[in-house]
Amino acid sequence: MSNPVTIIMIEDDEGHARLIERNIRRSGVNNEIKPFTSGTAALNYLLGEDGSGVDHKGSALLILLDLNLPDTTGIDILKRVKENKYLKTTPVVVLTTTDDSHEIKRCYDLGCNVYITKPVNYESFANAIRQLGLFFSVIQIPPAAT
Amino acid sequence: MVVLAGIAIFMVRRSSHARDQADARLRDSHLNLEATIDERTADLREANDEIQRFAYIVSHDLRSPLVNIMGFTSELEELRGDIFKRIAALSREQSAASPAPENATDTAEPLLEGSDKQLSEDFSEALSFIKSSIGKMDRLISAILSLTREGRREFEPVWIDTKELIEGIVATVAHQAAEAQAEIRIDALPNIVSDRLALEQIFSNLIDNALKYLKTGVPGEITVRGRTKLGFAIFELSDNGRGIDPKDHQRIFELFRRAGTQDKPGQGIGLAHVRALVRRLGGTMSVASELHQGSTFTITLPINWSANRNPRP
Repeated sequence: MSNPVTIIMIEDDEGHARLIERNIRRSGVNNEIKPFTSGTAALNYLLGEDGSGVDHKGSALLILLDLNLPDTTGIDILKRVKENKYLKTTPVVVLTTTDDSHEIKRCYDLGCNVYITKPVNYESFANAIRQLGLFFSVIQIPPAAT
Repeated sequence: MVVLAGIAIFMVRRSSHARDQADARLRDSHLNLEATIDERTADLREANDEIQRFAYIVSHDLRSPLVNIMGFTSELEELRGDIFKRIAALSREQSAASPAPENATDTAEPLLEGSDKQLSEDFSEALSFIKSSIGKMDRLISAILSLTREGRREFEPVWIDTKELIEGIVATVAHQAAEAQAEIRIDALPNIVSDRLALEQIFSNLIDNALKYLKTGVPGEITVRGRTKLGFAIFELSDNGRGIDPKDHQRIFELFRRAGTQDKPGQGIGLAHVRALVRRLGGTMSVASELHQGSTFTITLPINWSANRNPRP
């Protein structure tokens, strides 16, 4: 991943966040990871003070999103990001425990780029995250702009 | 004569009047009864929906902490490796007299002695118990999740060639059948209108069970028979397997309960699920079995089931 890309990790469970970060690092990705434990904090950061998202004009972001958040649903965040004119090209990776097919379809309908179910089996979990890290290291991300 | 006729007419009139009144009362109470039933059915359905939602939320939310427990247990396991490697290296350094082993690479198990070795083994044992319990809990949660998901699926009545459906299931278990030296025979079966997926799940669960619980060393014989009676199709699945103690006949249909020798993997879900499906399809099921004498599962389903006539309980 070209270096200035920042990974925004929206995950309320700090344990999950730690495990995700560790495994992303193990795959050799050294980009900055900004963790958020609530939807509100994440949205405040993403959309900025005025809610327009203009703060991130020109910066490259990648969002790792959990769906089950205490304050807002991940779906709502996904919708807001994909509706925002500066953020809509930002890749969103939904990383959640739900494997419900309706939920998965709904996320893709709303423009999520990748949907991953967190496996309980840790080997699979670690593997999935490391593969995701490898994927991060090769994908091209457009700057959030225009 | 005239007086007698008059009395007769009067009495006939009176009795027909009484009959009309009774009729009207009967109609009223019938209507009342139907209204009450509708009301209760609606209540039950609501309660049922609520339980479904509850089970879904609970099982879903329980999964999240499980990911952490499993994750950090595995991380601990890696740490264990590192720690004991270090201990091994340190103790070697201390007893400088003993030469360093030649295979002291990163991947090799550290050479530990005496109490260190015991510690390492205790550590591993504790971790493996934690991990196997998490695995079990995960399977239970997944089972509850899929049951509630199944409970929310709408059934669709279609015409089903039952024999063909069961032959399809038998084809998918051909490998297990060959391994168990079992022969599965399918007699002529009545065709019915029902939900295809539910029927597939019912029969594949029963056939799986029949194959799973055969007597070791005895070639399996599994037979599927069918007949019809008063608008119902009756299917019987018999095997010559290990059988079920009559005291367990109720228990085997309960969720997460199993019976007999626990030498096969399983969560105790199959039959509970099957019975729930049969009930939703407006049918009943029962078992006849003795220990070591094989089992016969009997399923009675309406021949012409329609979703509306048999609303969800």
